Amino acid sequence: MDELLSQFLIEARELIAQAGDDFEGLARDPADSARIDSAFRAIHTLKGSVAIFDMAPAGRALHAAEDVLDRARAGRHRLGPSDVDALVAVLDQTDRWVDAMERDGALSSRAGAQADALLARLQSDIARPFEPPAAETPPWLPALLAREAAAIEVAVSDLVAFRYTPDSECFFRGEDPLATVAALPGLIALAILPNAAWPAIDEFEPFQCLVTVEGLSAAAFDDVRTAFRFVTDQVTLFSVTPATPAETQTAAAKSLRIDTARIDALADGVGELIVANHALAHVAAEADRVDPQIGAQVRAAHAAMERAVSGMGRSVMAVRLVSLGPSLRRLPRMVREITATLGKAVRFEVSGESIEVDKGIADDLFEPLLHLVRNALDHGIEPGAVRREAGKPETGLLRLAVTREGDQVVVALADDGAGIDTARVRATAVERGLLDRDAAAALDEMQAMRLIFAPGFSTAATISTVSGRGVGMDAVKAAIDRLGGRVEIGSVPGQGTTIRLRLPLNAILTRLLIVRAGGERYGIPLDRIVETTSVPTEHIHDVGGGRSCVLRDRALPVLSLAALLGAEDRRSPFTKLLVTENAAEPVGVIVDGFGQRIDGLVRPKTGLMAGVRGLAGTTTLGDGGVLLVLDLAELVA
Amino acid sequence: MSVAFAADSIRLTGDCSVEEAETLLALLQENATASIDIKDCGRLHMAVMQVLLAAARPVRGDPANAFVREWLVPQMLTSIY
Repeated sequence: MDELLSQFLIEARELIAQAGDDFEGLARDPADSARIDSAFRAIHTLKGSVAIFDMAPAGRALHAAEDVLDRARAGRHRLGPSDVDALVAVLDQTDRWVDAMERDGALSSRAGAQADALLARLQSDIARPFEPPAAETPPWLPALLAREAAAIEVAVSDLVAFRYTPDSECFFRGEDPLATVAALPGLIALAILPNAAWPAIDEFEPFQCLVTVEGLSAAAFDDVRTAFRFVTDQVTLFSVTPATPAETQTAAAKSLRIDTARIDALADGVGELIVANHALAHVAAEADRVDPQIGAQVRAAHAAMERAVSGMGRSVMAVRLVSLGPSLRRLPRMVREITATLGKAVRFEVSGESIEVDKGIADDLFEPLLHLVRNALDHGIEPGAVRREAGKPETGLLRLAVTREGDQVVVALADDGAGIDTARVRATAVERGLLDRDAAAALDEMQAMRLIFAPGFSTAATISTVSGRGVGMDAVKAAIDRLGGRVEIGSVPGQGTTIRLRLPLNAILTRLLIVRAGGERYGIPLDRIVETTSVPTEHIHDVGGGRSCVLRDRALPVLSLAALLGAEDRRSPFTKLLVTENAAEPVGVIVDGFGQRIDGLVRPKTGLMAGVRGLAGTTTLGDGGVLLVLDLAELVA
Repeated sequence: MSVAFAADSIRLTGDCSVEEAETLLALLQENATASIDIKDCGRLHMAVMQVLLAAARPVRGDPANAFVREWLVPQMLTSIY
């Protein structure tokens, strides 16, 4: 994608989010002047940005929205609820237009008509001609900036560029343009320019003003405007922000946009350092055998290195942390669209969106979350009439809350709808052939609820266009699994459903448990392991084609890791079991032994290994050996 | 507040108002090679200033008026637009 466009997409969405926040505030208090100001600035900047691209309809709609806000700002118009609704509609449409630019690189042919509809809603003074924002940078400015580059370079604050073209008859009215300029505060550059080539001195007309005065002032914009107050019709002012060179960046420039690929490279480097440092522990043990004194020195060096490296790791992770806000802020618009389609009234509340997560998670969370939101609006929250009969408020409530719990982020989506009807879930699962009637009846409530995450399940009797066919809740679970997260579900019939997504804050290093099987060592991501235990071998029975054992009064299917990997099982009186989950059901996996827990940088499998089933990737051990990291879910499936 | 020709230069003295522009212009037209002496000038009206800029004659002197010294004299020295 062209860099200008990708930059635009980022900035436009930030501005849309900002304006969206402000409109939300204005919906509560339409007279909030700080909100009006902030929304005006966001819309104004957005209008300027869209002008760079072939987005004229967006420019028109935003111009009208800006006009409404500008009049509200000047106190010439009192914003009402219908104004705020219309402004939100413009913003939502702009968001869709931005999506279209990303997808198609152009607006659809209907954009013009859509803009017209928005203009009608805004009731703005459409007769006022639309000035393209490009014209807002005055044509005289570039020459001035070039001429006064030296003065701008040493400027430390915003400057005001002015161009004063005195009326040619002004001398007759007793005006002295130079006296006005002499009284300007903060003058840092001045040029007196002839309006046309200077006439020969013999033909000079001394009582006509033939010049224009241009310059820069370091004073505040309003002060400069005040100095020119008697000649406002002859003066143009423009605010100029000096571009600060990098080496003199001060508090003014605190943030920096960096390509995430560079951060990833940095994170990879830190990961390699951690692994390299593991090797040092090994060296320390070796050195200990030869000379304990050298061993102690190496150990001390290792410890110092470990502190430094883990500090670095934390810094890199912190760089990758981004607020969830930008990913979540598109949801309110989606909720408005979906509820409009469904004809339901739903209030959508978001909290905790400022919590920061790894960028990878923030990017990949939107799709599954949108699916959950759709599902809650479509299947969870009942139609108004049904709610009224049930004695609930007719307007449904959907609440998205982001919280931090230790090293996890919990994204909870709660609706106050009908809740999950587990009897119907069981019936549907049986109907779809996911399990038989007895097995369904044997499931406890929680297990029955989790059936909605099974592939090929959908609880709605009719599949509506909103939730769509094709993608089910299983896709949501798969997406969250990929992020190293878990999905939890809770539901009270008649009161609503809450779905919690638990996601790791740290996506760079994976906690691994080293296990032995078939004479080899393997790494297994700790987040895949429910528990590790040891059972008497005689308690494992052959049942039909497979094996099972009873663990805490529950039958557990058991598989052998060695057998899964095509090796021999080792027999011993006690069998070590690792319990994992397959399709929300616990499964026991027999291993020969458990090793240490390590933090490893898991590299995706490449080349020949790419096709190997059950392999998640590889990581490097402290002794330089390569550890195969297993994808348990794939192995036991 | 006067504009007068002496020796080989046109001398501006005191604040020069809009009326002085005409006198200055006449002196410049009569003395094609005269330079300008602004050592003792005060404020300059824009009408006077634009005549000086158009004439582009050599300018001498370091006037006491800060605005003239700091902002207008440099304009006269570079009035080659």
